[in-house]
Amino acid sequence: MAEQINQVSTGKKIGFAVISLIIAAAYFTWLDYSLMNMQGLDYFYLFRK
Amino acid sequence: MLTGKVLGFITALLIVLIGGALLIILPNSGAVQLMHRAFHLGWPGALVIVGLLLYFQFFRKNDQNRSELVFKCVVGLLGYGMLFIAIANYAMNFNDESAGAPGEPRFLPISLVMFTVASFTMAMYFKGVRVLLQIGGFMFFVAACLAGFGNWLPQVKADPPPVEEKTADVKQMSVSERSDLGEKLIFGAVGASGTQGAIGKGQCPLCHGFQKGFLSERAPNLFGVPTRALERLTDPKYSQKDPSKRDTVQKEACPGCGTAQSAAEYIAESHACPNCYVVAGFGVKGTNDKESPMPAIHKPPIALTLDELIAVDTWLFAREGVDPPSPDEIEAAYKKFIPESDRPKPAGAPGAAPAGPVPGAPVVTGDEPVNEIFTKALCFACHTIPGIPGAVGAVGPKLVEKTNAPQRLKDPDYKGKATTVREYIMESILTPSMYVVKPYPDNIMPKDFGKKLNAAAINKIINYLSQLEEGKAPPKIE
Amino acid sequence: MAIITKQARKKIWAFLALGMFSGLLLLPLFLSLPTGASGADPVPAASAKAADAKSVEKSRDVWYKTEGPVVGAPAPKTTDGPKDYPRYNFESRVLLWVGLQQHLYYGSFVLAVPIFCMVVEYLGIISKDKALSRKYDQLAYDFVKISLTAYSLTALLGGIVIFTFLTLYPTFFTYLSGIFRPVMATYALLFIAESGTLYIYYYGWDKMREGFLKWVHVSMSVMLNVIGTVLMMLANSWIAFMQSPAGVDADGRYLGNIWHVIHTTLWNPINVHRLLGNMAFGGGVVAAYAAYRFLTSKTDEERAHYDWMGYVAMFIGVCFLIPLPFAGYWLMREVYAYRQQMGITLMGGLLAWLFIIQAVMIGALFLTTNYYLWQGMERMRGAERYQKYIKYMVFVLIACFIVWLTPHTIVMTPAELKAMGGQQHPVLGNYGVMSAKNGAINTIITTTVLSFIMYQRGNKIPTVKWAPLGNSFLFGFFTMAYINIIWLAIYGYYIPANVRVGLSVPQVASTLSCLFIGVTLNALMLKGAKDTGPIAWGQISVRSQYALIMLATSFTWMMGLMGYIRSSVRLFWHVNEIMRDNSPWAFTHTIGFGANMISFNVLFFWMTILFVFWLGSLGAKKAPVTAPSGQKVPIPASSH
Repeated sequence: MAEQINQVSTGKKIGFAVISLIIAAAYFTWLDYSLMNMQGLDYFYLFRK
Repeated sequence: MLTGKVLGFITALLIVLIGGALLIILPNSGAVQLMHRAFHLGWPGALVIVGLLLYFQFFRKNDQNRSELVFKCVVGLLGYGMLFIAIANYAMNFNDESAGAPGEPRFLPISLVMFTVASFTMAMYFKGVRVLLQIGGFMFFVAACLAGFGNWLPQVKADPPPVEEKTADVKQMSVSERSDLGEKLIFGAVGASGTQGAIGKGQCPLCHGFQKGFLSERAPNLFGVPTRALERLTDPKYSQKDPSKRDTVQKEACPGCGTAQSAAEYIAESHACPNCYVVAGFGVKGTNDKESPMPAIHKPPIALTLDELIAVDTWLFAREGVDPPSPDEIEAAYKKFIPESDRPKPAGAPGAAPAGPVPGAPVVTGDEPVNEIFTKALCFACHTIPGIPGAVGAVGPKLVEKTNAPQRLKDPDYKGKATTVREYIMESILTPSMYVVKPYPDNIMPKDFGKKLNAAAINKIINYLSQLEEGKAPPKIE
Repeated sequence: MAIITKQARKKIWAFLALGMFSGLLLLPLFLSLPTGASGADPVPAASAKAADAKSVEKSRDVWYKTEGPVVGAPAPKTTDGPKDYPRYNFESRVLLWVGLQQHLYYGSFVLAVPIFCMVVEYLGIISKDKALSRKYDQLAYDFVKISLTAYSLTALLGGIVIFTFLTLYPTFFTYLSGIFRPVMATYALLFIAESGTLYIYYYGWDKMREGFLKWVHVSMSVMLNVIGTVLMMLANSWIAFMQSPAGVDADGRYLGNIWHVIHTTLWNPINVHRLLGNMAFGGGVVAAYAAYRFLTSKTDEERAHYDWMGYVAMFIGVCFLIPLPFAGYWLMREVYAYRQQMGITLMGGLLAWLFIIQAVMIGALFLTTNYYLWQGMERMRGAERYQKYIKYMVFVLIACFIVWLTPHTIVMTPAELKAMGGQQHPVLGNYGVMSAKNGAINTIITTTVLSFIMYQRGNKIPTVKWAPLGNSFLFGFFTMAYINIIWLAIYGYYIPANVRVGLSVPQVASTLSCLFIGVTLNALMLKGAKDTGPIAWGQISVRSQYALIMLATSFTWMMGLMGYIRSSVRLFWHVNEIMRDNSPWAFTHTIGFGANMISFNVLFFWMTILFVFWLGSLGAKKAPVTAPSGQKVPIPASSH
């Protein structure tokens, strides 16, 4: 497997993973909020109370 | 050498031996019955296989495959036997669940397991269709698991509700038809008036006795009421001349309604305003007969319509051989005591509340709001339950259980097993005689609520009652 | 030059043939139109007497609330006896149940398979790879071949059902057929069209192999499916009418508008649900067929072919299984909108336990799917690197499965209630609520998606430049999806019920995001990926084939179960709130009895269809022997 293409360093991998996690977290928060909003419900109900 | 063949022969022999032994030792056991049935169903096929076996054994002497063929016949016979025992089990235990049908459907998955075993066993010997048998056996296994699961769950069978006929125009009916309808409303069926415990939409027999000598502790026995009614009118307590002199909590059915002048009017007034006159000894305990435990019959939860009341009253007269008043007379009597706005509308008329259970629902499914459960289970007739309209009964204690139950549990006379409010209520519903609140008598409350109500309904009742507190507002009805 | 003209002539002929063909197909529709119109017209025969008596009587539609002229007779009031309910020495309802279920199984299969066939044949045409193209074409041909025998059986069973129905429920049958007269005529004509198309489609396969004719052939499969779907929708209108009648007044008198009778409120939800269900079921049956052929294969090529076929069929089945709950949700919502009591009987009352069985089965189906995919990874070189994750996935799946099947509130006996001290178990009750269950099933589906992605990249290593980023993103996305699903499940415990019900939407959306984004991204990453070795088709384990059979059996069982639920929710009505069932069998059976009957139907179906498969395999073996000898091969009977 020496000819493995696109070998990147572990540090870079972790960086990618962190960025991805942040993007995904943002996406899911948006998804939750907007879909609850579409039903006329408040996603952040517990925190506003 | 213990080859598959030898093993097969030995198994077959063993099974025959065990079967034979069973036949001799336990000729009446279920297993033998099963074998009998299987033989009954499958003997022609078995005969063919045995015939083949004999043919191969004695007429194919030169065939090199002879022993193989004979062996397959023996094993095939074994598989065939298993198959038919499974089928016999199916045939014996398949029933349509109508009352009295023999057999137990819960045993059917066993047949599937037997098919599974038979398929896999045969797959070992019949190479040509091995895969088919294995696949079949596997499918039988999957189906056996699912059917077994289905049979393991609690079994509820739902009977359809009785056909509810629309009340035809009572005035068009003959006297006997009208009287039959009345009997049905009181007892649930024509001719049921002599049966103890029969009860109909009007729910009268819950408290009233109707036959001479029948127990009637909670309310007067209504035998002979057409003649007795006229006597009641002359009772000074009835105060026929001036209703305002009555000592009861309610003096008149409606302001200015006046008093009854005939037997029909007396009965109508009693239905419309039970409090207007209380027969001595039948008042709510502790009120000195000033208040009646009976609900107004034209109001919910019983809410008989005028037509239905006419039919009921007709029966009261007709069954004693007395000529009943005409429907118009009875109707006039009710109109005298029930103002226009209070008259229940016949079912189906616009704006009428749905009468009885919604079509399609079992009598109490546990899905209804709790007030409906109280109504349908008839709790209201005897108990006062704050927050439940119409539940002002006084035959039994008031059900403010958040207040009552802890006291009852502390009572040295308490012999039950309950330790919490919820347990106490459940115990009181399911086994009412475990503890009887003083001064109420024992054996008044029916002991069969465990059969009439399902768990969901009981749970709702407990939820509600355990929140009721003396002097506090009742909880919201769910 | 000559060649072009020859081809042009061919084209013209093809066009003509196609035109004539479509004309023939549309003919029944035209024929049925006047029948439909006569139904809508109040004057003719049926109502002539009524018209004499008074001027045309008007009445109100029970569902659409429109006024219409009374055309039909009121729903008959039956009484228990040989006049309305003649019987053999057996429960009539059960006899009809068996007949209808068998007809439905075969019918669904026959409707579903041509759809696969159409897709696969089309894939074969557009595929540039000659070998693959031939492979697809062969597969499509195999599909039709299986469905052909099943088609005859469907027709035969349909006939049996009609005669059983007519014999055992004559009054009810007369009433229904009186209302649906125009629909039944159309149905019969469409059925003939369907048969004709199917036979031409099948026997014309070799003749229409090349060029333009091939396209004609494919369009014929489209036609076949259109007719099939219309047939199914017409049949659905009968059961939808029985469940949620419309187009008649409160006495059950037909009001002259056939469209109202067909288009009842539950018709379309049932149509969609059944179409998807048929596809999943058809996939299951074909997968089982492939498994059977795989297990009996003698050569490696055969094994490879049927392994591949099983995989494709399983894939199709599961693809249609995933949207099925959403269609079910729509149907259920419409049921609640139609009659709340009916919805409660289904979900919280008498029939609620059946839904628990269904839940268990759904869980088991997903477990089996995962198992098959993992087994499939064993035939790929390079997939070993994913093996180590499987044990964790098993753990997640089992844990979720257990939560998923924990019941919430159930019908209990008072004694059981007393023993448990309440309707909910003190500990397990917490996992029985909807919040936890939604979390569990979404986790199960997400995990299945993950399995599928692992399967797809089993023998491939992405080489695109952004692969590390893509991998990280997939990792991040799935991690957050899991966290989100579980977070929403926990969050549900702390907020009031009316807000909680809304949480299921983002939960499902998270799962679907994983499905679409995950699978798409993965597919993009695998473009031009480095192969670590081809998929060794045929080298899959025997166990995996039993997983396929398990899937097929479960699909069949579930279909029987859901059909039973749908049918028994009418309780004691022939036609809900219009015509009462007064036979001795108006009661609702216990769950156990239902489960026994469903098992019987499932096994009966599989026994017969395995027999059909077996017959097919006999024919296939003999074929090379008989064909060259020049004997007359009898054409399979097409006379029904």
